[in-house]
Amino acid sequence: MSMARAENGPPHLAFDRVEVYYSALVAGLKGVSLSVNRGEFVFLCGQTGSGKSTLLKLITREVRETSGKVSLLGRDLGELPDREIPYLRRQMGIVPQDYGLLPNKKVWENVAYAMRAVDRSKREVRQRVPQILEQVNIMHRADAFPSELSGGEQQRVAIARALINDPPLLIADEPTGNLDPTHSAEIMALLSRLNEQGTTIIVATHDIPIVQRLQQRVIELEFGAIVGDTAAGDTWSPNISAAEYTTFEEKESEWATEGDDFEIYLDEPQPEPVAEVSDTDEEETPRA
Amino acid sequence: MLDRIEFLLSEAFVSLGRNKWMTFAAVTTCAMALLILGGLGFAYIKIDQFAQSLPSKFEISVFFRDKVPADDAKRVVAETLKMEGVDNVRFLPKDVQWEVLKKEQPELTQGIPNPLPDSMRIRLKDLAAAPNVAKELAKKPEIGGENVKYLAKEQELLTTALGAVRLLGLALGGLMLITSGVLIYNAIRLTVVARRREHRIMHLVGANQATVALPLLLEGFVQGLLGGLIAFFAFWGSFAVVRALMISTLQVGGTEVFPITSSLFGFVAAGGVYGLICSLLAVRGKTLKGAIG
Ligand SMILES: Nc1ncnc2c1ncn2[C@@H]1O[C@H](COP(=O)(O)OP(=O)(O)O)[C@@H](O)[C@H]1O
Ligand SMILES: [Mg+2]
Repeated sequence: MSMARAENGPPHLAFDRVEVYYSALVAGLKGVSLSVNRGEFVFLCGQTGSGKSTLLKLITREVRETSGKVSLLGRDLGELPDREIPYLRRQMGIVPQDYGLLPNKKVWENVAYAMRAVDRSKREVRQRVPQILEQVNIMHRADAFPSELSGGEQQRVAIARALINDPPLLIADEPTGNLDPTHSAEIMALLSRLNEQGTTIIVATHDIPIVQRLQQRVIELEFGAIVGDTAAGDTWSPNISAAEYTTFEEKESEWATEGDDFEIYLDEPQPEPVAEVSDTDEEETPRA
Repeated sequence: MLDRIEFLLSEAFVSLGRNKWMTFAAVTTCAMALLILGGLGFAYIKIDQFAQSLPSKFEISVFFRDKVPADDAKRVVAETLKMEGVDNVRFLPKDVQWEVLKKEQPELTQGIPNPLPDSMRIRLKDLAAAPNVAKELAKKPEIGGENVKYLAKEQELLTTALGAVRLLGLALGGLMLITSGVLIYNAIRLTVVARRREHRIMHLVGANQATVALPLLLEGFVQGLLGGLIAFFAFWGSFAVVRALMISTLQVGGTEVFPITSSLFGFVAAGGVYGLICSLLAVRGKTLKGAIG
């Protein structure tokens, strides 16, 4: 994956007037057209409910478009038969918002398990897992259980798992949603490094300071439509007021507009632990 | 390939271990269902074979009226011999029989006059001829309808017993089979819930549908298989017990050999296939299109 290849062939990702209706009245996306080249780093910004996750789910074929066309490397994903979805997903790394780590497996086992699930041999797993853990700088915690890791470390494990298929495309939904500014910056640095190695990166976020710092391309969504597309290198400022991003009552904590302000970190701890506890609770207690 | 099989197996066995009690319940009910269906089925076949073998032993007993002259009796015997379906006829004079009885039961027969009538035993070639032969004999003045005894009643009883065994076996076994099916089905559904995190990861990284589904199917298959295996051993045990009983009380069945290979294969295959079907129903549509978000 070199940057030179970005110029040839179809774009890595293309949306053509894509609409998603969850029901007659609930729109996920309302006519989105965009194109992402290979090797690009794209932020998807917007408030909660603006359609960021819907857009990402179209790429992973978790959601199907109601109308319009989504194509990956020129291939129409709407035409893809269900049985080929696994192979589609092997062409991308998916980092879910909640990390999705298996709590009863150690860090290296989490990555190994995912590899075994896609038919990799034990030998390959032995060889590759340390490399991947090294790549995301978590090798020193290989024998820890997820519960023993910080949020940032867990996120790195989730990214490690997303790398098992050597994907040319990495998709992350709010990867810094549950992290403090320091860890958020670490994760973004890691994603930037992967991008420099040629991976196309698409990150949904509403973390304005981070987006502004990285100066990558920013696509801004509002009510399911694109309201801004700022090229890399330009300084982005939200189309809607920055305050609106944070006044929403959200599950994820807002680490404030000031980024590193520790005062705010101490002042507003409630949403984060509450969210985390209820999250893990729901994950860990089998419903039956 | 080997690595893949190992992975699928280990996934299945993790679930079997996780739902220990569920697995236990499913396996034991499945075993009972198979034992009832298989065991009673076997008993049914055996009794039926016994009933089939009856016609060759089939006999009609006929008692002559009192004071029938010996010549008349001999004529009737000769006529009977000529009847359709009759194999042979044995005339049993009352005096000869009385002598035999006196020797066997001296106290019982002491001091009383011979109460026995003359009689004859008719052996038939063909069971179907029995009613006709009996009717012809009953018409004769020397005999009379009430003095013709044949085994129609016993035959009927046996048929009724067979029917009852079949009905009971089917009802009880069927019920158990349904219960075990529900238990296996539930065990798989529990696994689907318990392992939804793992399944999500599988969908996330692009695991085949088979990788998700096969361990679940394997789990049901193994449960059925274990049920079949237990049923086989239980069947073997009951066979030995019943045979010992029959030998000691009825002096029959000593030559019966236990069909090890066919019953082992039968029970295990039936269990495995049944478990597979139940888990297929449980997995159908589920988990295969997992959400990952
Ligand atoms: N599974 C769903 N069923 C119904 N409505 C949904 C579903 N997922 C998302 N939506 C709706 O679609 C809109 C966009 O949601 P989403 O893509 O999750 O936004 P974001 O990720 O930016 O918060 C919201 O109005 C949301 O309520
Ligand atoms: Mg979202």
